[in-house]
Amino acid sequence: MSDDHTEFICLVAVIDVSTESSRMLLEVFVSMDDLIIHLIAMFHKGYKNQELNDFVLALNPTRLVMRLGILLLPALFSLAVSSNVNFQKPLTLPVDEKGTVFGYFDSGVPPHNPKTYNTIFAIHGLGFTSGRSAIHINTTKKIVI
Amino acid sequence: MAVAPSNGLRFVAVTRRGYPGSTPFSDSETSVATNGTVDEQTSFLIQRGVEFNMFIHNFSKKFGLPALSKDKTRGGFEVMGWSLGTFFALWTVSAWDALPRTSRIVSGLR
Repeated sequence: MSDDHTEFICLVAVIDVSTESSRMLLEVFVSMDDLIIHLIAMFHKGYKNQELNDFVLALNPTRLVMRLGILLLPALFSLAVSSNVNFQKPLTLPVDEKGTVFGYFDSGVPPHNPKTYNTIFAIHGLGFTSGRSAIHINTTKKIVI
Repeated sequence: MAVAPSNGLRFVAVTRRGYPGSTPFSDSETSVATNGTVDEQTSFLIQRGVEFNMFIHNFSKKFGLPALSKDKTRGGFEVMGWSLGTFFALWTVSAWDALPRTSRIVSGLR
């Protein structure tokens, strides 16, 4: 399974849903633990992308994707960081007095209208961190989950 | 992001908590999200919106972002999200009641 981590990350990245309600996000937290464990177990057993995809589609994709987005995918990215995957390092800014920081990428001040420009703050989705290509997965390296 | 400056825009792509570069959720925060009461979970979501608002506030303060012009055609800022990020963009707006009315966020948003 030397390269399968890439397929797995893609699997959770390509599933997308329309915005429903914030409540939906909360409902998934309780019920998805076993599913996540099961998905990882399938991955370890050598299931391929299509098999995992079929399994996911048989479930409620909205609930699944919410859970993956909040808890599992960040964990996978963290594993990737510690496993020979090169990340572009963002700048950081504190958001509270407890030391919580947000990373960010900044395009900088427009040169032609430095006093009147408009700023867009963008919040990323599931599989991709902010801005330009923040992640570059080397598919020749192995991630052990 | 690369074409923003040449088009008169400043594009700031924020990394959500838990992703590389931003603070992970603590065990207690995850526990609330997983096993908390409805009120606790609602508070959890509002807090995510407050965090993004504070990011915008602190960013604006640090870099002196141009204020929104009176005719609202120049300056100011916008918040956007894609995919799951739309949730966080909505929470950012919905958490305004938790902010000081003098906040740059309230006065600067388009």
